[in-house]
Amino acid sequence: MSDFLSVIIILLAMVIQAFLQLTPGVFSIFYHHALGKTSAKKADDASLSFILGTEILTAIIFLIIYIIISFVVTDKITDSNIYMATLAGIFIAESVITFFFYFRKNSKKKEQSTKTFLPRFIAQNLIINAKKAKNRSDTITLGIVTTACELVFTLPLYIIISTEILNLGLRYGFVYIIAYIIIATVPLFVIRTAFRTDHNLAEIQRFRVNKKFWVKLVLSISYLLIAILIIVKGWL
Amino acid sequence: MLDEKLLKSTESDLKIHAKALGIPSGAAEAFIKKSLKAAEKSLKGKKIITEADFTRAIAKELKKYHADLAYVYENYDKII
Repeated sequence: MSDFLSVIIILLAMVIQAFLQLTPGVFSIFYHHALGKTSAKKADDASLSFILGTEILTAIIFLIIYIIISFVVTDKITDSNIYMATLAGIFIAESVITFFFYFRKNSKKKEQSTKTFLPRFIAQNLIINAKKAKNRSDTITLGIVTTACELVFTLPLYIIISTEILNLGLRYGFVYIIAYIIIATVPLFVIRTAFRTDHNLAEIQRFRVNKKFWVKLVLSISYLLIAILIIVKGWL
Repeated sequence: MLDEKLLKSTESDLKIHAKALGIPSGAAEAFIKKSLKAAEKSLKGKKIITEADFTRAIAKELKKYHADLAYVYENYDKII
């Protein structure tokens, strides 16, 4: 039963990762601008560097957290109620934060916005860099920086997945780690395919605006479910 | 009279958006110029023009020619 709950927690964490919106937003701005300045092929190649940057940082942070938890934090701590209760508290807080603060409130009723929690000067900076990105190193860095900006929402996911992988045993651990890193970039591949199949930024953005409420609902419920499952696991 | 520099940079931004949206460059150039002129005209009487007024006026004119271009131009900084 405990193993089953661990798998569900890992899957929910993957769902959250796939629904986060900052990286897809920056990626779509970047791709749109690359299309406007260069050929479709060059834009397509550059987009892979962005995805690579995202994967690199996701993998690095994930493995660092995994190593810290498996070597520094002992079994006594990860099995303790305080550790799990703290994690459950963090996930409840994330659930509330994602529902109320992940997307900024529209200043006008008709505004078509998917503005995120980021302070405006950071968001402006990302937009400027997405416009200016010229070569591979620029785009890899952009992917890395964007992924880092979302750490407030992803760090607890890395911690809980690492904890659950330790509970499940290392044999399946690598499968989950690789699956998680792939899941992190699935939305980017979807947007890349959309651009390649003649969809444009206006269509993608309209879709994102229409689904905004559902995105924040899925994120919030998933965080809450993880918190509940952590508590249930503590009781078993 | 609007700042010439601002109009030039807006025009080049709009051209990049138009290319990204797959609008033929000749047609895009023509209606971008028309839209900028019309927007400038509509803002002529105003004493104070904010950035939002400027963007809205151009988007309103662009909408007559290409709805997607107007949408991207108006909502560009609201994506993230």
